Amino acid sequence: MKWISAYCLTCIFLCATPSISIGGDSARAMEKADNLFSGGEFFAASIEYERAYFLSDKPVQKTLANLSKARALKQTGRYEKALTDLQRSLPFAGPDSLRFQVLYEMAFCSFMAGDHTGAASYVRQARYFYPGLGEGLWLLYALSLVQLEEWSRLGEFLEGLDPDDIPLQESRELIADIAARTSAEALPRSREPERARMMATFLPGLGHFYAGAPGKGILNASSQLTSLGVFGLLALNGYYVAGVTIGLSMFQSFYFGGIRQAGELARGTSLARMDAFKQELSQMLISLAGNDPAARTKTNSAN
Amino acid sequence: MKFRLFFLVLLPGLLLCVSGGVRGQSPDLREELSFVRYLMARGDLDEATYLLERLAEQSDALSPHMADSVSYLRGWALYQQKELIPSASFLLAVSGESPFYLKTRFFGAYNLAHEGRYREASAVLEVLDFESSAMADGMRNFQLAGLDLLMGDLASFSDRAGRFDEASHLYIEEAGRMLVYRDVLAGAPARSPFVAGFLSAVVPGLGKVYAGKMAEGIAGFLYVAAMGATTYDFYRGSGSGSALFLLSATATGIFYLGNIRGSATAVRRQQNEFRHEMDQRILFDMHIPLRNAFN
Repeated sequence: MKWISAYCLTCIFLCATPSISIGGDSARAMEKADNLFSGGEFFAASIEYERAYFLSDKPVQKTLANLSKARALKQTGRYEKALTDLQRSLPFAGPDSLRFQVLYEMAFCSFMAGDHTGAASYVRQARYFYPGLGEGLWLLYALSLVQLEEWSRLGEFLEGLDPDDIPLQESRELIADIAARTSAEALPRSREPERARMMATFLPGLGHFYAGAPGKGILNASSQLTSLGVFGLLALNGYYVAGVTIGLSMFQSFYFGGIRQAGELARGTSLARMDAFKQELSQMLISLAGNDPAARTKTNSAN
Repeated sequence: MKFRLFFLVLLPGLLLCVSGGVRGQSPDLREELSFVRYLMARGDLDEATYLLERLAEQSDALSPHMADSVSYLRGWALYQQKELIPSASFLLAVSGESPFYLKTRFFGAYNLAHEGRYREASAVLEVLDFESSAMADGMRNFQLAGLDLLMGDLASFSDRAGRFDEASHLYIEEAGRMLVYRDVLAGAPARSPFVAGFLSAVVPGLGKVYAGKMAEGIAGFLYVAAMGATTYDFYRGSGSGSALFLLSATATGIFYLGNIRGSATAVRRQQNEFRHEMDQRILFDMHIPLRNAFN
């Protein structure tokens, strides 16, 4: 009986070892990943964080590994991948503080991946479910609204900010300035490609002027006049066929090319102006965040 | 006493086996491979490849079975990343002892075929060694028939197609399409670049129409005709010695000759496009049964 008991105890000991080691393996993988991360080996660190996720059977540990992996992926610029990986943790994130962190990272990665609608949506979720913590995400939300060109919503949002978040007088002035710049009258005027094409159809070069490229307009109009001149000169000298095949073929190329070019220039000008405007507004919002300690903390952790 | 002896013999054995199973190198490698498979299933192919490369660096520590697994997984990861030649080299390095042997040979050969290395692909399949299996034998015959079509060996294809009657459900539809491809290839008109050039010399653009490029032919004709008319206009107005006539005639001549040359190359271009399209269809139909059989 004594031997049988000893045998059973030995078996239990031997069988228990691997099951205990699973949690240990996950912790070891986390430790190794942290070391790799500290050493700047972000790709290898992301793999080890994934290993920690794989080896762990506890939702909280999995979420922590996933968040750390997202940190490593952000360092390598793989925001979309970080977002996809974080999505698996959202339903099982565990305590509210972790779930909030997951939502924040998802919002940040969405923003950096160019999915501004997704970023705004995740921030709204964070603000709704975790009002206390979510308020600190106002900068990310405002930046997303700028990228989405939702000016009225941006104005309302900034007006409704908790005064505790933006305590300084100069910040209040900055918000007023943003509101003034995003009013309908102050927004950069877009150049309609269709209108530019229409103008170029009736008066060569005019569509280019409208699109903000007067030099190109003058060049295109001169080219059209020259080709018509070639046609006229050849026709006057009795070379009617040559006038058509050389002069008029050149003219139609310049004419229709000018119409198409005017439309493209208008679209390019509108995009460039809007990009510059968004850049300017984003800088103003970031300087606002510089006055907000909570947002500054968030911005630093995001970097 | 009996029990004590039994226990004394059993305990070291158990310790050796189980502790080896938990901490030993081989189980660690197994765990690593299990993690690699997990990464591959998630689509993290770069990460899986990175780990497999690190494993391959310790080739001395790998048992033949493990080395086969590493080669197979590296080849499979590269196949999924569409790096087919490196994939083939890893897949074909798997030994006959591996349970993935047949899969690696078929996919290795397919990868080679996809990259235009038809003879090497055929050689891999010809020497394929397996125990009697109707599925494997039929699949090999089907793949070799596909390679015959890719190499343009229609007679050999027809020989192999005679055994398509035994085709399994895995490739019966593809086998039917292969027969259609054979007929299309056999019936493809053999156009001559010389005839195309000659036709364009007679009527500019006609050679391109003959090559199957109708729009290019019409455009070529209009260009040369317009330039010819312009040259005639200058000739009529200022005679054959004028600078305008000479300039225009030179330009027209260049376009005329260029059109002849373009018609000759259009035939080759058309043949290449036709061949490429057929090759893609054949490769696609070779691929589907492999995916069905081995996935």
